[in-house]
Amino acid sequence: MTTSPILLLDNVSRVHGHDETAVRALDGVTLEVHAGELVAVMGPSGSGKSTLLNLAGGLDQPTSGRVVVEGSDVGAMSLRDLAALRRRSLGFVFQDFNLIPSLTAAENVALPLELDGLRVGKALRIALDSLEAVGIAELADRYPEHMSGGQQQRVAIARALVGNRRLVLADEPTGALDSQTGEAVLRVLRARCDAGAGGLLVTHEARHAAWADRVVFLRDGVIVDTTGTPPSAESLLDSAAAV
Amino acid sequence: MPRRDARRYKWRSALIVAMVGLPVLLLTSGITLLATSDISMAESIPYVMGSAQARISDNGGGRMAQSPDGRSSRSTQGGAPALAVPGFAVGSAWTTDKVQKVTDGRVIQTSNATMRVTLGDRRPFMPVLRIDARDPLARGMTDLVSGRWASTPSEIVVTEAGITKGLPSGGTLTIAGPGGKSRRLTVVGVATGLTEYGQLPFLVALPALDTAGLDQTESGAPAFLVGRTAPLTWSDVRRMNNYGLLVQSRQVFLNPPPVTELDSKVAQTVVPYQNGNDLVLLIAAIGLFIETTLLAGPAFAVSAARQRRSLALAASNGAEARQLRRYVLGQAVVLGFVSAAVTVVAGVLLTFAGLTWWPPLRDV
Ligand SMILES: Nc1ncnc2c1ncn2[C@@H]1O[C@H](COP(=O)(O)OP(=O)(O)OP(=O)(O)O)[C@@H](O)[C@H]1O
Ligand SMILES: [Mg+2]
Repeated sequence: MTTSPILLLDNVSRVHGHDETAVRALDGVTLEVHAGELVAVMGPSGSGKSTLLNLAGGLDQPTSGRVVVEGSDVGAMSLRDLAALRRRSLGFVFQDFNLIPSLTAAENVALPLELDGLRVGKALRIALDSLEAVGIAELADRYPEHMSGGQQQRVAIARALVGNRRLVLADEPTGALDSQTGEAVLRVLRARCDAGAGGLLVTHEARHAAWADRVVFLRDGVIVDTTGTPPSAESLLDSAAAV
Repeated sequence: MPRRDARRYKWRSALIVAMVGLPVLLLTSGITLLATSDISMAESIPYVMGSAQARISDNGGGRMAQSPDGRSSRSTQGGAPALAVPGFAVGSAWTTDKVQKVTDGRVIQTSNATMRVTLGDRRPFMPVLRIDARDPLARGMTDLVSGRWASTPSEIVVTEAGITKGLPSGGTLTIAGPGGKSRRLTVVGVATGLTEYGQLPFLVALPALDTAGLDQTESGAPAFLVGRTAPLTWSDVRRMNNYGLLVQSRQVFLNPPPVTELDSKVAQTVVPYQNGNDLVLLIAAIGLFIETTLLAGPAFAVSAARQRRSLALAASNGAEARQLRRYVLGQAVVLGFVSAAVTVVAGVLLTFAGLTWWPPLRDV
């Protein structure tokens, strides 16, 4: 890749706690996500996948190393800059409870724009474009409780990439969905990356990782392998599990 | 977001509104009642004393102290005998002349009684206001609607309330007594009427109406209306109390003296109508505060806890601490404001409705 990455993790470590109770959740991880690229992160429970994602999104700060989003060093940012980063540059998709229940789909998607000071009307118009891009513009006025899990996750993806946001950080977005619906959500995620976004996807399932351009395999906070060929993800998982 | 939240979770919001609102409702109706009970003392002037300066009644004993509205009193100075009125025997019954000696001005007599009347095959008791209604002092207490006032003891006037109870608006009315003895009175007019406690008399008759031998119960000794140019002040009232007279003065009803000027024991029986109100309101406000913190506070905290995820989500989408605080506070303000506004209005309206439709409330 010749372009600069949307997301760069440079030798990032994260240690929780101190001294004898210290947990090294992430240990010297280096990773790039470019525009148009979907990178999957796999690994057993407790291997540091969520930690990686939280660091990438500025929800957490590395103990050492650098996190760079769209050219800006997250470690050097003030709290306000971090909040602005989360409003403008990237969005999260979690396993569940992604949407604010008192807001409609469109209002949920418009939230980061509104928080950024955009007028409601304009924010909603941009939100509609984003809902359109994930194929559920007709659900704009629904409240979350009146949407299926798959629809809710699509709204979350729409929100993660609304406006100028170009990086979606998805932590097991299909974890609460049946496999068919999960598949559909991943297809949407894939499409948004093909349209130019960068994506970092945490998943347990090799089948889902197959949608990614690359798979990064974590174990005990360390990247144990990377592959650029999705079909081998399953075998990678098997070999790692055998270790 | 707070407004959308309140809109979305109508029932939870309604619960909080109710928890904050109910006490506010009670408080405002209380305030309204107190406010209107002040007015009701002034409002009661027409039916207590018509157009007179005062209504005076025999308290039936020695020296006494009374409340400004005359509803409560007690004997003072260890039950010392009342001052004697010059020219009248000690302990003689009060008459217009004897009252006039104490009050000056012009004095007429009035009383409330019940009389048994014959209506077809029924013989109900009916309240009758006994006063020479031709006298201008009676205006406000009873006013003529049609016909004329009774000018002899064999004439009588029925009230509009009496007509709704079946009394004739003309012709004759038979007053029934025991032993078949009865008397026919001529109905000469129709009037409006109110008695001392705001009840409606059905009949208006001259005090001289000879009812001897008929079923009749006097509800209280005769009272006297005083017509004079000078108002009776609170010190006039206290002076007359020493003659054993209870005085309901127009001047005092309009401007009650502070509670501190009352006899201390009487003051305890008086519904606080002045400084006392401040205390009542203070207590109510403190109660309100405690209630709100004990009940509404946790309810609000629960709803806030339920929104932790929403807040965390907003934070992960770049909400700053400032915006999150504004959201939580905003919700408190939205709900607080709504409930306060709604219930203050409701409290005032409900109380006025209550005053209109449920008369006993007026005596509060
Ligand atoms: N706030 C924290 N304080 C202390 N230790 C933590 C904290 N967060 C995570 N850890 C530890 O860091 C390690 C990595 O956690 P992380 O949540 O990143 O794992 P994960 O790969 O997302 O696991 P899972 O698949 O179960 O979600 C774990 O050992 C975890 O116990
Ligand atoms: Mg995790």
